[in-house]
Amino acid sequence: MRRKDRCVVTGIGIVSSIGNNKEEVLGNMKKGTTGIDRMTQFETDKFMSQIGAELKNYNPNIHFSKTEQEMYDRCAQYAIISAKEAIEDSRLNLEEMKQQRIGLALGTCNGGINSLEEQEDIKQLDQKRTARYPFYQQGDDIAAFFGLNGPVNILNTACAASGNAIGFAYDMITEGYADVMLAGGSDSMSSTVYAGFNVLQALNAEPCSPYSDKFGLSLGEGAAFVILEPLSKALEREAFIYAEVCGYGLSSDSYHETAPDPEGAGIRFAVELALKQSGVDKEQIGYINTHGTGTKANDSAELKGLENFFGEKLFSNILFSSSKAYFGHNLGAAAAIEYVTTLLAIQEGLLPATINFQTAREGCDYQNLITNNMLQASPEYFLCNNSAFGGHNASIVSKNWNKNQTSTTTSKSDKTERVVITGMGMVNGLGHIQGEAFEHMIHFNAPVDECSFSLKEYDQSLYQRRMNRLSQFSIGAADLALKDAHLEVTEKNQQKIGLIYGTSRGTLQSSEKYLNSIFENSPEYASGIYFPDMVLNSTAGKIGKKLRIKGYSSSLSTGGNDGLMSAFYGFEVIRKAIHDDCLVGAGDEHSELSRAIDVAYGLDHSEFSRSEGSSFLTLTSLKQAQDLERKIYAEILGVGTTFEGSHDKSSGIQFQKAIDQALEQAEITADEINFIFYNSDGLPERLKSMKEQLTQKFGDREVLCFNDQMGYGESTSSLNHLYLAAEYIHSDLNILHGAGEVAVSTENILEGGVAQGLVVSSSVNGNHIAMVVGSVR
Amino acid sequence: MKTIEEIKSTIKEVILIERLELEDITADDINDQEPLFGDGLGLDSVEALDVVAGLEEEFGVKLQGMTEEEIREHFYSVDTLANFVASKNLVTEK
Amino acid sequence: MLLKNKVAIVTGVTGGLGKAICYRLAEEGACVVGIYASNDQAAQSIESDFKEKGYKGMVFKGSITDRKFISGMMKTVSERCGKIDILVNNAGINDDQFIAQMTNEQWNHVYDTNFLGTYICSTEVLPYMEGQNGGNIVNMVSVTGVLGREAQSNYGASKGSIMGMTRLLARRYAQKGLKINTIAPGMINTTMVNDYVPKNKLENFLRFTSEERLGEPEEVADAVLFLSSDLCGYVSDTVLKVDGGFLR
Repeated sequence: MRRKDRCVVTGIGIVSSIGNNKEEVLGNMKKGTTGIDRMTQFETDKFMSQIGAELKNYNPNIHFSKTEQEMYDRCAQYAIISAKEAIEDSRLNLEEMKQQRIGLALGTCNGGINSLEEQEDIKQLDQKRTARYPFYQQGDDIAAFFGLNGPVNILNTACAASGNAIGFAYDMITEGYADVMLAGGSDSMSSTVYAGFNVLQALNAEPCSPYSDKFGLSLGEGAAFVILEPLSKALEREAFIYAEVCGYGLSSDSYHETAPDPEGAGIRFAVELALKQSGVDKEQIGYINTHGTGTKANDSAELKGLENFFGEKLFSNILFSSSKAYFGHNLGAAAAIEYVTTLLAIQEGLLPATINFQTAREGCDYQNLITNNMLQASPEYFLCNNSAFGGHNASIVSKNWNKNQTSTTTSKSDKTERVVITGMGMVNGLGHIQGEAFEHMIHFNAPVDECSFSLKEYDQSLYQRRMNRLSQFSIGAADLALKDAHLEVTEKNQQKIGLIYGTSRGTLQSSEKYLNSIFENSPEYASGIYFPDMVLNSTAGKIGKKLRIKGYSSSLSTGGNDGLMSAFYGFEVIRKAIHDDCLVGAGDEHSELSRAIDVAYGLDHSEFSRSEGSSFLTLTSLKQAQDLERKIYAEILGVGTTFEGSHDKSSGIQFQKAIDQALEQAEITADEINFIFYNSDGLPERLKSMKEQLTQKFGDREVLCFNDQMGYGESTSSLNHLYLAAEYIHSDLNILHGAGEVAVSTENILEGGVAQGLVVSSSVNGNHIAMVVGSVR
Repeated sequence: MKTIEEIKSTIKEVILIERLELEDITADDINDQEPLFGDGLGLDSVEALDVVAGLEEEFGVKLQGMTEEEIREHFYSVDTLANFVASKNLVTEK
Repeated sequence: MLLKNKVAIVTGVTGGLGKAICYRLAEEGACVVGIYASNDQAAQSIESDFKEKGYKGMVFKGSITDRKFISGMMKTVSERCGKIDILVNNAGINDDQFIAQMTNEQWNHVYDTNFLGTYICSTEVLPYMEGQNGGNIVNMVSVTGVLGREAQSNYGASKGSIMGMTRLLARRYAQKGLKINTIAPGMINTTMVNDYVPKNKLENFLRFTSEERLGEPEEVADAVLFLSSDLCGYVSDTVLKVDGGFLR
C-alpha cells in the first residue's frame, strides 16, 4: 500500500471547427452551432459526402514563422496552439519551472499525414516534409516547443488516442513521474483519410446525427489540451480546478479491424476497469459523454454495452450525449475535445447535447439522451468514452470540482505490486526465438537485416489473408512470449491480460499500398482493404484479435525507444494491480517509405544496419508468478524517463536524470549496478556520446550495445536490450560468448547473489528512458 | 461490350484475386455459384467494399442508392454479380 | 545594450530600411519580431542569420492591413516574448503617378497600405503598451510627407496623414508613458530609391542635399534606435528628419 497524489485539471485549451479558443467554442455550443459545413480544403465531389468540420480561417502565419511552419505539420501546429491556451489558462509560468518535471502525452490518429499527402507521390519524397510526418514527431515538436523535460509519450490508438493520452498523463502525475503534464490530442483534416472513410461508406451526406435516424459520421479536425497537476500542488498555488481525473480504463475489442463488437463488450470493459481503478461506484455516475459517431456499427453497440454494464434501471437515470454533432469526429483529438468541452459546459452548470437530432434510430431510443439543447445539470461524477478502429477503447472517470468537496485529502492509497518478466519471444533475422536469445546471436557473424518469418508457416490459425509483415512478426513474437511464460489465453483470463505495443512507424508497407491506390488512381478508388492499416494501432488490434486478448490495451510511438516505453507502461499496469499479466512488445517493418523516413532523419548514416522484426515480453506480478510457479527471468525495479527539451542534445543532463530517477525508484545506487545495456540508433556522434556518458558514470562495469550484432530496429531494439538484460540476469551473469564482438562477461562474480542491470535507450529526438532490472531479492 | 464470360473472368482475376490479393488461388478454383461471403470464398465486409470499388473502376457500375437486400442478392456469387454487371451494361451474350 | 530584454515589432523587414532597423535593434539586445508581406526567402534568411549571430527574433508573414492577422500575431508575440515594448511602422509602398493621371486604385492602394497599415498596427499595439505603462512607437514617414514631391501625391498624403495621427496619439498617450514619434528619411540607398527614382531626378535631389550623397539604411536605423530607447526621454510627437539636409 502506498499513498499517491490525486490528479486535477487546472487548464484547458482548444481549437476546433466551432471556435479557436474556449470562450468561442462554449458560446457556439450554447447556440447549438455545428462546425460541419461544405469542405473547402480539397475536392469532395466524387465522394459520397461533401461536408466536414474544418477549422475556420486558420492562418498559420499568426502563430508560426515560416521557418516554424516548415518544421511543423498542421497536426503539431494545432496542438501547439491549443496547448498554449491551456498553459496560459492554468497560469503556470513554464519559464520559472525549469527544475520541475513537465511532460506531455499526445494522442493522434493521423500524425503528420498532410506532409506526405501534399507531396502527391510517395516514390519521390523530399526530406524536409517527410521529417514532419512521423507520429512521434508531432509529440516531440510540442515538447521541444515548450522546452519540456518530463515524460513524453505519443499514443496512436486512433479514435481513442487522446483519451488514452489523458489517462497516461494521469498515471505520470499520480505515480510521481511528473509534476505537471500536458495531455491532449490533435488531428488535421486529411484528404486521404477522408477518402478512406468514403470507401468504407461510413460518411454521412448530411451533418452527422448520432443516435438519430440518419446513418454515417462526419469528419472533423482540431486539437485540445488539458493541464494535469497533483491536487496538493494545485491547491498550494490556488489554481483554478476544473475537475479531478479519478482514473481511467483501457480495453481491446479484439473483434474486427474497423467495426466495434456489436454487444459493446469492449467499451463496457473499459468502463468497468475505469470505475474499478477510480474507486467510484457505478451508482455515482451522473453523465456519460459517449463516443457516438453516428455510424450504424457504433451507436447501438455502444449503448448496448453501457446498458449491460449499468443495468437497465440505473442506465435510464444517467444522462448521456455525444458531442460529435458539434465537432464532427475528430479522430485522435476526439476524446480530448469532447472531454475539454464537457468540462467547459460543466463550469456553467450545463451538459453538451447531441445536436442535429431528429428521431431516434433503432436501439438508441432513450429518454436520458440529451438532444439538441444543452441541459442544465451538475453531475458529481462523469465518464468520457471513446472507441477506435483496431478495437481499442478508453474511458475516463472524472469528478466535477464545482460540487461540494467532502474529502480534503490530497492523496489516496493504492496497491502496489512487484513486476517480473516471465516470458520472452522474438521474431527477426535470427529466426523465431522463444526464451534465450544469446546463443542464437553467436551463430551469426553479421546481422541479418531481412526477416523471413512466415506466420502462416508458424501457425496457420494465427494468420489471415493479406496480413502485413509487421503484424505477422508481432503476432509470432507475442505468441512465443506467451508460450515461454506458459500463459494460455482462455475465455476465463482473456480480459485479465494486458497488451501494450510500441511501433514508431506502423506498417508502412500497407500505408504505401493505400497511398498509392489514391495517388496512382484517384481518391474515390482508395483501397478499402488497406485503409484500416493506416492507423498505427491496427497491428496491436490484430495481435489482440488473433491471440484473443481483451484486457487493458494500448499502442504508442516514441521514435527510438518505443519498445522500452511499452515495457514501462506494462510495468505500471502490473504495479497498479490492473492485471496480473501483461504482454509488452514492439515491431519494425522494412519498406521504401520507411527508408525515405530514415534518410529524412539522417539515419542512413547509422553504423548499424536496419533490422526488422518484433520482440515481446510477458510481464507478470511477482505474486502471480510465484503462485503459478512460473519461470522468472528478472524483476523490473525502477524506471526513469525524461525528454531533451532544448536543442542542445549533447548536454546529457536529461539523460543522466532519467538514469537517476530509475536508480531512485529501484532504491539502489549507481555502484550497485553490475552491467549496462544501452540502445543507440548508431549515428556516430550519438553512439560515442552515449557510451562515454555511461562509461563515465559506471566506470569499470560492462557497458554494451548489441545492435552491431542484431541490427537496429527503431521500435524493437530498445526492448531487445531489456530482453537480453533479463536473460543475462536469469543466467546469473554467466552467459558465454563465442565469435563476434559481444563481450559479455564470463567472470562476473555476484555480490550477495544479486544481479542488477541498467537498460537505457534514447529516441531520435531525445526521449530518454532508463530501466533497472535485477534478480528477485 | 463485354460478354458475360469476359465479365466473370474480370471479376475473378482482377477484382477478386488481384485486388483483394487472395493467396494460393487461381480463377479456376473459384466456382461461379460459390457464395462469396461467409462460407465459400469467405470475404468480409471490408473486402465487400473493395469489390464495390472494383466494380466501379472496371465496369463503371455504381452501387450507391441500393438497399442492403439488393446488394446481398447481387453479391451472392460470381454468377449473380456478373449478371448484375451485364444488366447494367446491356451486354449481349455470344 | 540600450534595448536589453525589450521586445520590438518591426514591419516591412525584407526591404533595405526594415532590415537595417531589425539588425540595429537586435544588436542592442532587443528581441525583434519582423513582419513581412511576401518575400519568404529574404525573411527566412534574416531569421537564420539572427540565429547564427545569437540574436533573438523571428519573422511572421502577413499584411499590415489585415487587422485579424495583426491582432492574432501580436497576441502570439505577447505570449512568446512576454510583452511588446516597441513598434516600428516601417512597411510602406509607393506607386508614383502624376496626379492628373493617377487612378483611384493607385491612390487607395498606397493610402491603405501606408496609412491604414500604420493605423491598424498602432491601435492594436496600444492596449499592450498601455497595460505596461510604457512603450515606443516609431512611424516611418518621409521627406515627401513633409515637403511634398511631384508624382508622389498619394505617397505624400499617406505619410502626411500618419504625421497627423501621430500628433494625436502622442498627445493622448504621453501620460501613459508612451513615446510616439516619426522619422522622415530623405534619399536613402535602398531599392525603393535606386530602382524607382530616375537617375537625373536623383542627381537633382543630391544637388540640393547638404551631405551631397544618399543616406545609408544604417543611418536611419540609428535614428530609429534613438526613438525606440530611453534616450528620447523628453521627445514626443517629433518629426525627425534624417535627410542629409535636404532642401527641396
